[in-house]
Amino acid sequence: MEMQQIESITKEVFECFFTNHSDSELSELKRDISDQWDSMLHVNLISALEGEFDVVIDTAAAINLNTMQDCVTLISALTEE
Amino acid sequence: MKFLEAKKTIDKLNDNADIQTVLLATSFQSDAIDIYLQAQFALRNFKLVLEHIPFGNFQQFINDNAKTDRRNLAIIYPWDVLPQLDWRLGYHDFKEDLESLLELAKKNCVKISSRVDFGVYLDVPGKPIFQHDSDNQLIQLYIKRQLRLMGINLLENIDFDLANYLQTGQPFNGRTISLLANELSKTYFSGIVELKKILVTDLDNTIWSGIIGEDGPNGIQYDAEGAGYPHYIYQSLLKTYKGKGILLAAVSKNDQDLAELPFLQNKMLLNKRDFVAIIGNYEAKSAQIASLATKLNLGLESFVFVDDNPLEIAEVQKALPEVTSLLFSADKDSYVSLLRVLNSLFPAEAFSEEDANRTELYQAKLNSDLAVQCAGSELGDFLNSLEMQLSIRPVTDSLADRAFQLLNKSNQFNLNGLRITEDAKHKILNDNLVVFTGSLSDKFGRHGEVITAVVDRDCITYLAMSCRVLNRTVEHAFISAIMQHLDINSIKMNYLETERNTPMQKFMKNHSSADKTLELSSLQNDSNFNYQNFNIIIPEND
Repeated sequence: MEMQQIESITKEVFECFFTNHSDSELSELKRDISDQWDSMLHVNLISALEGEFDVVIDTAAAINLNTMQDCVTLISALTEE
Repeated sequence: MKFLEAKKTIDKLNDNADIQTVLLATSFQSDAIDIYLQAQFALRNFKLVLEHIPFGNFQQFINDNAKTDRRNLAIIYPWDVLPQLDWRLGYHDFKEDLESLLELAKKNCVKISSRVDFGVYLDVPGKPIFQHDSDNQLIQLYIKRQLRLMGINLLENIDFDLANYLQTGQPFNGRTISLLANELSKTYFSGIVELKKILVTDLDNTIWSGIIGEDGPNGIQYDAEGAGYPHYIYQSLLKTYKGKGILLAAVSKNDQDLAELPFLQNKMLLNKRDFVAIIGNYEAKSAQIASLATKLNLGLESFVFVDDNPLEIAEVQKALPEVTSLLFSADKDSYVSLLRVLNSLFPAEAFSEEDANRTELYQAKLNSDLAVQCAGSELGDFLNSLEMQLSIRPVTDSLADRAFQLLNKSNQFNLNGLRITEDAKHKILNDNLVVFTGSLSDKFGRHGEVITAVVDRDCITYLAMSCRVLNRTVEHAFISAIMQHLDINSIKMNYLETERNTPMQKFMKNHSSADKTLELSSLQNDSNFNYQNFNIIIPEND
């Protein structure tokens, strides 16, 4: 899958969880400083990404996902395998 | 179905779609499945409003018999039947043998089936608890068989993600959720799961041979001879059903006194006390059954109706398609077939000794509304059986981190949603406010520090409890013990309503006055709370 496509789909998934966020707000979003991006939302977000891209995200890797770009990078690596 | 496809399917749903409100009962955090399940319902043109039980509340759920209007849907894992199989609990010395665990599994399966309208069982490996693997396999096979007998749908090829379960409490990964939602919705819409609970029988030419209004009490036959024999066998079968806890009712197009007369003579196997109701009138039988369902607060799906008259069977089938209607015929083949079907609808394994008293309970229910009291006492019994121990201690600087972490992480049972910053933390500790924490353990294991309060003389400024222990009245025990420790009868609460602290809002609504003061007596008078359910350890005052 092309990187651009992964970015676009990932952004769409993020928009389902972070409604009313602009593109730039989504790009700058960081889990460690976001009130909304709590542990429960994180579990649901990872499930959504796994379901959308048909991948399994290792729990150790999931813990380190802090931004939307982190997710894109990880999914890109997983879909290449 | 992929995640975004599910989202788009929901968005496309017509605004006028019928609404289905469903409670999804799981022992894990199940929000991730919502969107897939809502999409499955949307495909069938239904808008699904999904409610969840609080995380970690599955055992409370199956022990609470309170009836509600919505349907209960459940995803069941082996450890929901036997908590001993739960990987997350680690190993403890349960001192229980295989036989007692099988018995417990059976009881819990019955409880689950009585609470769950539609459910799927995921046959994934539980934690091995016995030395011999054959015993471990036996217990899982037993659970599987029990639940299947009770109409729970079995899913054997669903991936179990142990690492994810240990890390997040969610026993599967995102690839599996769509499949699970698909199976769950299929189970829901096929409506195959309702355990039959009540047999409603006709009287003339069914319970006995003959017509009471014409033949009189001495002309009807029900003994183990001649024309009465098939009816004698039928009565003996119903008698055994009653003994297992299946409810019996009779509906007859007769005068009430005539319908009851043969039962009052005590000559038949069945007598009046074996029935929750004997109804004689000339209303349509479907109307009589519907009225009974309302009075007993039972779903029509749990009813089986037996009558010798094909017209009555057709009338009930048409008016109440949810009821399973069966023709009684003394013709040999039809008769054998009827008994076989009845035994498959009321499997012996589905009922426990505890169910045997159901008839008396429901007879009482018909006479007075005892439902609420009954539910409360069963939940109380369950909480009592947990053997909860709550260790409360004031913490100092070095030990306060976990306490502050709990305040900053918890949203649901959180007094005000205020987060503790580093500055606030130093202020709390420097101003000599008291930070109390409570650690909970029960017969299944240790839950660790689950509740924290910061107390400023006569005011609780911060309070939070882990959602894992909601509905155990831990908050009642904790605050009561602190108030007794401080020798005060009332305490102010620095309460603020937030978007997410609904359980706290409920607690405050029940126990605090308009000025947000909480009285010790209010906690102690809460019918759901029993101080004796807890072994509370708290240091004496200095």
